[in-house]
Amino acid sequence: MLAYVSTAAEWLFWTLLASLAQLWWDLLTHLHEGLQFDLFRELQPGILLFVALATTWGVAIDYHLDEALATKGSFFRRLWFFAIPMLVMVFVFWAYSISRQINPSDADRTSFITLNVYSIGLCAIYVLGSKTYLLMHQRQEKRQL
Amino acid sequence: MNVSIAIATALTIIAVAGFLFALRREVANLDKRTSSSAPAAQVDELVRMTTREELKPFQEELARLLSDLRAQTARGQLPHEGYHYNFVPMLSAADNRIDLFAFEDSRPSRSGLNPELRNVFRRRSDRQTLALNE
Repeated sequence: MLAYVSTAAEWLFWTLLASLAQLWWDLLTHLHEGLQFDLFRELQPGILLFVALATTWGVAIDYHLDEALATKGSFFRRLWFFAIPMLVMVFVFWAYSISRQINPSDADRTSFITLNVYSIGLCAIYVLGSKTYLLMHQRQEKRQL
Repeated sequence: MNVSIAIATALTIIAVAGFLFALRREVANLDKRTSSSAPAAQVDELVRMTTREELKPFQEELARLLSDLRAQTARGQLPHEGYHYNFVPMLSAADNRIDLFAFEDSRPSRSGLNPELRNVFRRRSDRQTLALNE
């Protein structure tokens, strides 16, 4: 159990570090120019959406193309490992279509922010869970060599 | 809350619940594969089978495999850990039977078994509990 926790902590650390590196320049710009913080405007370029989509699908491909894992587990179980990347992709496309509107309404703005939060949340849960599992599986394989 | 947010929320909850359920099962399987049984018990697991004649040409190779397996187990390594097992047959002159020892997975790159011998295992994998002279 301790091994799972330490592996999860390791991945959480790297995820936070990568997120900080991506958000660092944006944060510096705000601090430097004294701009008023507007979450919609911050999220509108879709950088976080892109990161969420790319990261989630990267891990999904790792999982589904793994020679050992691809042949194990039931179809139903593997389907769940496919459902979240698909859902993230739907959310990202949905959010991006809202962000391209010229004058989005307040409801659209709320939807856009919510979809961003859900995409990033799903990405974090998926990456943390799947990557921890994959790492444990790889360590187990290495011990056999 | 508008309809689109409600739909997104419902989908998210369903996806997360399903994923966590699937992940829990996967991790449980991983634990099971890791600690399925003690090495000594696996190495000493003896199953008799009826294919004595067709395995005789491979006796030397089987002896080597068994020796490697015992050495690995003595070092605390589990060559089959985390994998589906095959069984390596070992001819035993002493009591005139064929013993099968739990061995590693069926991937050719890992097990290093003679391909013909591998085919014998595959053919007989569903007959592990048959008595010698059936």
